[in-house]
Amino acid sequence: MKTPVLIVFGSILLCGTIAWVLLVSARLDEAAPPERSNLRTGRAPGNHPLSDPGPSENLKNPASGATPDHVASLKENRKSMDNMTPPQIGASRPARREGKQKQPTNQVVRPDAPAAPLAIRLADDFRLPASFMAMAARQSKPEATPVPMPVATVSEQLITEFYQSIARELSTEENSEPVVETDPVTGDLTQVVQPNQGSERITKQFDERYRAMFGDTAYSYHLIRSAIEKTLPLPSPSSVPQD
Amino acid sequence: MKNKALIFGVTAATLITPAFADVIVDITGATAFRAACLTSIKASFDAAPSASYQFAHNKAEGDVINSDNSLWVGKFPGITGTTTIRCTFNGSVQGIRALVDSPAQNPSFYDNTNAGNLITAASSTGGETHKDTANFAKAFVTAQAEIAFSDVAASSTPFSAPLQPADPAAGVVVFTMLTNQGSSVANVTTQNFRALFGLGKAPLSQFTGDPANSTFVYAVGRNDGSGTRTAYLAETGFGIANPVVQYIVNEGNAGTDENTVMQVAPVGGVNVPALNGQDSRNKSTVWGQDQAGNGGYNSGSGLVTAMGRKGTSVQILDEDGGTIGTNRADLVTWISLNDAITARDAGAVFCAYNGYKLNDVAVSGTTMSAADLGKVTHGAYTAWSYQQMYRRNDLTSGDVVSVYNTIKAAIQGNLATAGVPVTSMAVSRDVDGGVVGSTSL
Repeated sequence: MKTPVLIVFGSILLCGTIAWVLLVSARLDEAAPPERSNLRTGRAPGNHPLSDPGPSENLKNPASGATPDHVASLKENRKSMDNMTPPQIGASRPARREGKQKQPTNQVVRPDAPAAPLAIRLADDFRLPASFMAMAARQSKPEATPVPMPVATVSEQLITEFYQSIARELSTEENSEPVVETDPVTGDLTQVVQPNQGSERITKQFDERYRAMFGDTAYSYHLIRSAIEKTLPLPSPSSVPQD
Repeated sequence: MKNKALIFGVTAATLITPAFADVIVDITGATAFRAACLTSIKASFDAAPSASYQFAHNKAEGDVINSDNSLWVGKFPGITGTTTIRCTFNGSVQGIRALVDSPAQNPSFYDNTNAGNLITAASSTGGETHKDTANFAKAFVTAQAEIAFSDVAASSTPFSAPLQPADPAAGVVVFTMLTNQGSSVANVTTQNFRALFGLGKAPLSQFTGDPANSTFVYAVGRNDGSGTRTAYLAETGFGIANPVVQYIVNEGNAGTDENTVMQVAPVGGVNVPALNGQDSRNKSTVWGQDQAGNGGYNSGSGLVTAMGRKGTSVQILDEDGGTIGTNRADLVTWISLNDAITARDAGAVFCAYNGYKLNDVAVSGTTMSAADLGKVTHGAYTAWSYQQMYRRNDLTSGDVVSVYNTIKAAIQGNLATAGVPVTSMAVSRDVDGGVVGSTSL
């Protein structure tokens, strides 16, 4: 008599577990929208792409000093970093605003923002780091001489790490209420990063990294462009072409 | 019940049995803190209870702290089993690369399994073997390093994969502008440097302000695997990833103490056919820019030799080996304080950087005076960077971390002229070449 009851109970438990897993997966997919073509939009990753590859027992063979096989997985991680695509950049500011004009953003304040990683978008009055302006300039000139792979990698890494730093900063801002908006096209949730002391500190730090990497001349040029981009007046509704 | 007792007994026995795990720690990277690191390793082995260790290296007996390759085997403080430390110093950027790109970039270390590497060591009180010992076997083995020193942060290289720990700074490494023997260059500004390394040469009058100085000053420096080069390109605002134009002295005369032939660093490091003194290791490979002028010395020693000599009449070659002319050629470079002192002993001259000069080091050559130290620690003199001591990212606990912590702590007391303890700095900077600001604000 006991056995059929146990089978039924077990089946219910199993089905419930599967349903719960599927539900959680669906929610995570929903909360992690695809990257968009926007200068100010990026992903706030939950984990660093090159986090600890596994157990820490990576000691060498005491006799031979040979490196264990699984340590070589670091190289694979490195490859995956090289293949990592940073947030796509290239949309000009007028185009972005034009898009917003057509489909106003549904911006809401959500104190109880979900814990799953959201895409993040820099607010319109957020001064962009010099590395963003440099990347946008390069992408707007596809005919320009290609840069060596390590240089391109570092350029993309600067942007990826900037978003990671901003995401970490956001996670520590316990007292502030995150501003979350719904993407009018996809319906995905996006957290808007407002300029404040913390985000400005991070921006300056990445500007210094850009200067060290590419020199004063390039840094000054893109810093000025960044300042201009921030202070450009919003186009009036009448100046935006209507379809 | 019997089974439970058996499981309990086995578990207890496993927990009680002491671990006698042996550990191998491979160290690579920058040479700036080499002496401090090796002094610290030796001091740590000496400090172990009933010290018992052996070591071998590639320098003369008693000069292990300046060795490029060394092997240490014995009892290390805090480690139960036998600790083997193998060191190969091959440059900052290459060191970081070795931590994150294995096996492709595994350095070569002395093979500890080759008994010949430690042939004369005493068994109980420690012993030293060195390159001059007859039959000294210098077998090597390649392996991924656990620890790497670097003059610059990993974020200043194309190899910015995560590394341990969160704060890897083991000290501050100090550099100086240096000119060769007989040169009248006394001060190098940031503007001077950028003009010089952008074109490879600049009029001497640009450095002295004397219109009568019509000869040229030439840029010499390291290839792009060097942390020293990364530091000077960051600090001066030239840009780490930007290609430079540098010369390499191909030939000199030890008898007359003169440089005799120098050349724009050729593509690949050598011409076809190769000219005297060329070396394929001088090409730049890290940033994918192996182009004329962008190469440089693959180690500090060749640069030190060139800086110790005069340039009264030097045959100047272009990147293809064609003669441009034979002229007076003064040289300017940026070099670590340790190497600068060695070069100064051979005749090189310390220059001021943006008006500030390490005067007393130039005179005494031993330790930094309080006056010079103050220029560094309080921000007047900015030719410095943090010496980073990185661990592989997967090493977060265990014996390797214990060895790392012991060496890092000991280095603070063994810096000599290599640098300044971080705790002595009244200023700091966020990134290499970044703004230097007071820590008290």
